[in-house]
Amino acid sequence: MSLPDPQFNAAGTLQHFIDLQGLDADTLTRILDTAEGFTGINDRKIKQVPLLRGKTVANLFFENSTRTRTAFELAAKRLSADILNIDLVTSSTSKGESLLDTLRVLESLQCDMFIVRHADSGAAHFIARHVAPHINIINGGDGQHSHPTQGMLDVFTIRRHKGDFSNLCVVIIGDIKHSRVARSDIAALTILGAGEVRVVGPKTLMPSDVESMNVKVFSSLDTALKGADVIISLRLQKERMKNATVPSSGEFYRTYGLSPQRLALAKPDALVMHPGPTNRGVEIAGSVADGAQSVILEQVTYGIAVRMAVMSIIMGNSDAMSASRISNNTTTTDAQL
Amino acid sequence: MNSSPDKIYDRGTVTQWLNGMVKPLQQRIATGAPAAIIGIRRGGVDVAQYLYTALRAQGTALDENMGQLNIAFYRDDFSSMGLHPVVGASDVPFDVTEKHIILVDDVLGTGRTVRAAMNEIFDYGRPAQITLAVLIQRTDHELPIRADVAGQILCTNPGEYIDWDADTLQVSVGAKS
Amino acid sequence: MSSTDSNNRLHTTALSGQTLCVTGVLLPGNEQPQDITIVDGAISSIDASGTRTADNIETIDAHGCHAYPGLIDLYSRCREPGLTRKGNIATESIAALSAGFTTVLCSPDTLPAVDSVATVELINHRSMNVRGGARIIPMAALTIGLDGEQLSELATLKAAGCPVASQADRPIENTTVLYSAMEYASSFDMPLLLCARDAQLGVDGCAHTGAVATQLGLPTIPVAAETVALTRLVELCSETQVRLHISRVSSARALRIIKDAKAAGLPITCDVGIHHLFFIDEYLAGYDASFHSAVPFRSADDRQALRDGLSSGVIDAVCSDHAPHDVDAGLAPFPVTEPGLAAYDWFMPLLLQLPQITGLDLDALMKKLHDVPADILGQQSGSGISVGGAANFFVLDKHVTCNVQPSITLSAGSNNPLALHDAKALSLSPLKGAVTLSFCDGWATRFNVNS
Repeated sequence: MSLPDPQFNAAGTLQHFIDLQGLDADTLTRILDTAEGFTGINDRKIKQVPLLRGKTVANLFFENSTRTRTAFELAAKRLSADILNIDLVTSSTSKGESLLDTLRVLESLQCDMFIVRHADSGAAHFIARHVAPHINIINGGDGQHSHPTQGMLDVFTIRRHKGDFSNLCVVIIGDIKHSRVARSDIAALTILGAGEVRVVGPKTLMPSDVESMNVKVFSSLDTALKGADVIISLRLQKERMKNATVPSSGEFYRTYGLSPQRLALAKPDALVMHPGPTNRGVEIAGSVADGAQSVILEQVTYGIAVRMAVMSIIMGNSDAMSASRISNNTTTTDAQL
Repeated sequence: MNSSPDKIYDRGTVTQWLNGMVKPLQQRIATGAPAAIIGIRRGGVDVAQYLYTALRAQGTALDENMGQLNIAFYRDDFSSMGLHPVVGASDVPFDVTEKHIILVDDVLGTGRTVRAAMNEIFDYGRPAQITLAVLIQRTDHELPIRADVAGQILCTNPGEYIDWDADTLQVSVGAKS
Repeated sequence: MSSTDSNNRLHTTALSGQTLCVTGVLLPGNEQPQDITIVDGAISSIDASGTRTADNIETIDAHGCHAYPGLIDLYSRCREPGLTRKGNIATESIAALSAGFTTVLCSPDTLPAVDSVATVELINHRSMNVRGGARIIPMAALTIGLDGEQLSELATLKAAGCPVASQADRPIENTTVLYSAMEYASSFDMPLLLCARDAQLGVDGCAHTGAVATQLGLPTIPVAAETVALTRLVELCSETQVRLHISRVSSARALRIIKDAKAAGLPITCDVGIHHLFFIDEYLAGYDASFHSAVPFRSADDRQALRDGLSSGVIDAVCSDHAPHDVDAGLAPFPVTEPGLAAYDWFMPLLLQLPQITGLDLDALMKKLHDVPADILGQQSGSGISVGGAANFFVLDKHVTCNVQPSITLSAGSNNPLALHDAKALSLSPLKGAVTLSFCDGWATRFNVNS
């Protein structure tokens, strides 16, 4: 009864990268393996590969995010693509132009890929369903729904340190309800077969029926941290204090803040992660964020390689599909190039 | 799948080809800048490993580290084939600048892989010299690229495949299907 | 005087000065086919089929078809005045007629809201000018502009033709105003038709609070948003004894409150929107905005409770909750699409599937769409197919295959789920049944159901 997954094209390959739900372990593993290949580029004189030479990527940010936008920009540049940054927070859409009109204009500018960030859940789905068929969409975060490249860079970071997922206990702390990062992390970890995913926070920050996403729900952080291999602390938005969700940042830190004492309850080699930007002294102690177990800055670095992998895989898929549509007779392609 | 091979070269023959590459390489290395070996994944890495061991055993001056390239990000068929699976990343654990790079592949066919590999090498730095060494050089090339050192030249047409097995050191040639 | 619409989907004839006979039709509770003779818009005789033959009378063969009194829709939207890009009285009254309705209560959430006699008269005037078409009856806005602050001129609006007052989908936040509105309306025995929804809880939501909304990351509307508001309405009803009709109930817990209130003897009735008897939150998967509804589709348990409530009688009536939209209203990310489904073009086939899922027989269901709404409106029930009375009924072919094509709907609304899915994909039985003929306000309208 539900609509078809808009992520796949007519050839059945991944055309858009919108939502980890609906993807399989092989697809995620291929992205991680490809990203592994891109990490080496940082060590070279020329931190760029020619893969997307001549392609144009447009950052369509309907919601502000300097960090994510910059990460995508850098990823596109390292792939030799041209990148357009289009600030839509203050432009046409706030003047009443519809989202579709904005899309049509950008399609007319011969862009090949849109990175979309939008405040409404489902925005990337909507755009993928209505965009011209040759364009690739990457979801840079939609409402409270999904932030799939963040989910992928988180599992990439975890895999680099822990290798296998099957025995891992991952604890996600804080504002699960409003967090697209939490949803994408849960999806990625579940698909890759993580041993146990725990979510912990006050009920005001826990979405209804969260157990349906294959997680264990805790309200005590101390209990949740026992045996943890990976701890993901989420950002607590300031507006949560305004609408009676959390009384104060002080109380939140006392009950759900990742302090050095609490960190000691987890396994000694537990990783500390955070999607950034951190609120020190609210969801995480500064000393923990900067501590030996923290991989927060690695997450940022790996984010480039992971986004390069996603961009090149989906753009390659759609190129390959249109190429095979043009000619089905090019058997001379290079088995032994 | 390819058809069963029309011709098989056995371990003894292929070993001769490999050993035959050592001397010419020694001569080239002796005259140039400090040398280092880079193999092109995947078959080229196996050939490079063989040559590296043989050259070091004979005391040839060679960087102690061996590099390898995965040219997936440099291939010229991205826009028709998409991204090839990336298994094993490029790894060049030395500075290529002012080095004499011995670039090794198993089979030199169209020449496109070597072109991609040279592009990639230049993103690591500016080598003083590149010597191309291949186990087998095909004759049905598409680019003006030839090996400086080849274990064997095999006359082939584009309808034929050449497989080489690094474990058995066996080379087979047959018609593509 | 007669006319055919441009797409040849219907043919309308004025009954004034005409005599015609509908032959062989089956009436509720009677297995013998009947001939109904209509003279000058009134029913002159109903006889066992073939017992009386008159020459030179136009006959319409309805053998194998059923006749029912014209249905009354307790909640619909015609979008006129003000929102005519989505629909208008002409299009929606004809679409309603094709769904079996001859009377339609229209929501006051037009632009401007139905809070002045001028707007009521405009709607009445436009409705009367439609050839054929269900009669459109505006509901009065309970408060000026539906803002929930100042009472509308309810007595004046009632006199102008609004039998009930409503707040559409806008709850009154201030309990003092709500209390006062109930007291004031009860002074004139004017029923209130209110949807139970809290003014704050879930106000930014667009989906039922549950696993589906959690996975989609959609802001939610908890069941408590309905039950908290409902409890408040029931308590104030108990205090004021206003005749209160709860519009479009959505949850099992709400039904329990209504059941208790009825048991306590309060003058409370309620209805359910037809789509809520079929669809649940799972239909939202993949951000399907065709199921974005102001009253959210809830869980499978809630749907079962609604079906049970209909058969047990806790739910008194079924309404269409018809909400036509233009295409642009749905072309946005899910939370910002405009809520509501266009109901009329598939209302009758859906209705004909209710016996199977509720256990109620069709005659009993038709009563819930005619007798009960008539009581709420204070109309005489049982009229429509009686000798001497005006002809106000429709003829139903239960077996004809219904080919709803979203591109050629009678409603101006293109927002029917069939635009994206076929009946099977929606877990529905094959859609069958259509109104072939309808008599309303001196017009006979024949629908070309096979076109």
